[in-house]
Amino acid sequence: MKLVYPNDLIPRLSNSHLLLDANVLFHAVQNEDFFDLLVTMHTKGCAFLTIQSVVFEFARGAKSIEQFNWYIDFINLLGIQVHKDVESLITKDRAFAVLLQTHTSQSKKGISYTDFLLLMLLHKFAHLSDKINLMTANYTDVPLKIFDRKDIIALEYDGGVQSQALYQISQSKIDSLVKRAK
Amino acid sequence: MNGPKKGEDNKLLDELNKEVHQLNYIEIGKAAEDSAQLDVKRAKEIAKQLRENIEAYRNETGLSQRPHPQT
Repeated sequence: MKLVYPNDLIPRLSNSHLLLDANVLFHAVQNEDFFDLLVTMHTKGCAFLTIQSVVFEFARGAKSIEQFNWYIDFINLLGIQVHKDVESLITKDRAFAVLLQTHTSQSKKGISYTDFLLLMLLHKFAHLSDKINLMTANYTDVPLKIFDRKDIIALEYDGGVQSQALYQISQSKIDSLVKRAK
Repeated sequence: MNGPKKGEDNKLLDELNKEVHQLNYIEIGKAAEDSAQLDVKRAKEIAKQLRENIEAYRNETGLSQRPHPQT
């Protein structure tokens, strides 16, 4: 299985944080090259984070405690840490929550709750550091009016190509939207 | 409302008494710890088990056979 990504991706992600969506975990299970890439990122100083809602989506196939523990062990063994109490961000960061809802409501299904929480967390972290990215294959739920797509990783499978992308918040885009709204 | 059948009660209780592994939680605002250790070999072994489990779940639910989940 082939992977294509920018040559400088790994050095750029050293000493940074990477927020992971459920589809990243699925790809890591099913694509060994992608799994190895994540391991390399981690060893070069990229810390992995996710949220409880992602764990729920990932572990949906578990039919017993034993099987559920496989999913938990996989997350732990990849060094992924899970944020607690993400939901309270919606009340504490109300202005951004409304902005995000406004600019994702155009998609047919509307943004999923998991993706909404991940984007809220990305906004929260952006105030602490500019070295935080969200990795997801779900491009429809990340509005480019608010976020920048920084990198794309292409994954080749038998019969096709899929991708993961890395996103960061763009304060200049947010400022521009707020200005236009006034 | 139908409850578990006779004999299934014990199975269910046995299941509920099993130990659930804990995630590595972190509070928002705290930097992720560098000490989060990887165990690559063990993770790859578990990935093999998960591949089968994920495939079975997708077959049952009728989700796409592609690795990318349809969320």
